[in-house]
Amino acid sequence: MKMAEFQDLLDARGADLSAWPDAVRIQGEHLLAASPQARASLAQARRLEDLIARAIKAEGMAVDAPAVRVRQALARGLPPQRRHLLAWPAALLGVDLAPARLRIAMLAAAACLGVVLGLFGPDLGSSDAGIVIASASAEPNLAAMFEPEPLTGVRP
Amino acid sequence: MDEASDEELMGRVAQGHAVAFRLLADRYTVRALRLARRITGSDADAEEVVQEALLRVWVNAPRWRPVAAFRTWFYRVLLNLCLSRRRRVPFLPLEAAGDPADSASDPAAALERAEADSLLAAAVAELPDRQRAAIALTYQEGLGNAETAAVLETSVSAVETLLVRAKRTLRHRLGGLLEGDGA
Repeated sequence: MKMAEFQDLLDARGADLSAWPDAVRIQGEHLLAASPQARASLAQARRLEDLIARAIKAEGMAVDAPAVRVRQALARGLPPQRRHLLAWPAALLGVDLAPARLRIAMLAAAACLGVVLGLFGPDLGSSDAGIVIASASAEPNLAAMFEPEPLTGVRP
Repeated sequence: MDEASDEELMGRVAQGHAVAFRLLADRYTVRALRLARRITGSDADAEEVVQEALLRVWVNAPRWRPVAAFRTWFYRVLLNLCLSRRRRVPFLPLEAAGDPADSASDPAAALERAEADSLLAAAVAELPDRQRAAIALTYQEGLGNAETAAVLETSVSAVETLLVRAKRTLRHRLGGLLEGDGA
């Protein structure tokens, strides 16, 4: 392993060599044993990580007041949630029908009885055919009431 | 309910349980504020972004599917909101946070540490957005490269490239500060 590759691994995977994949960790350890420059790079990488961690820790002390404000804003009220359109069957299934179950059953039974009677019930004999014939014969012949155009022969 | 995992809480939030949502929000508010402030460089922006991200969690909870960890999904939402704010406000100096308790009795050493922290904060603030996000997710949130890649919606090798470039820049900016024998 060359120094440039070792430095990239330090930057990409961190200065904790135990977190590196075994193959590159072993190569890195060999380089560390042989190269003072590699040891200096490792020390520098650790110092940089310590600095970052320390700065972040110091910064973390200042978020208490904003955190309280965010929580207060959320406590004031929440907007409605967005739900999938396909969620409505599940919502219907979730409705508790227990209090109205008997009435719903009676309504459904009455609807079924109505359909059955309509399809298979006794025909009480309507006079629809007679009415149609009678109304058709009573209809006046309107075309005969107008004279045709003299030139075209078309009736208005 | 306090011991419930993030994903279990999200399941309840999806059913409209506001208590579960507030518990989840409590878990993430401080961490999210720190991360957002690191990336936006502004206290006010961070506060707005975190509030917006948490509201999106609530609003979109019924559509959330546990294909990834909640944390990954939430940080992705948060990070997208942060990065969409194009304003580059100068990074908040650490002095504004007040002086952290320092066990060192040597005032010179304390001053040196404060200067180092300020230099680092300024250097991180100067990084490009995605490099800064990679640094924050890795060292602030303790995410591994794979999870950082999931949050940034990129590959692990791309995250490693971001980290390499970011640290190269930081080393260059901090210069002799890193040559010491440890803080």
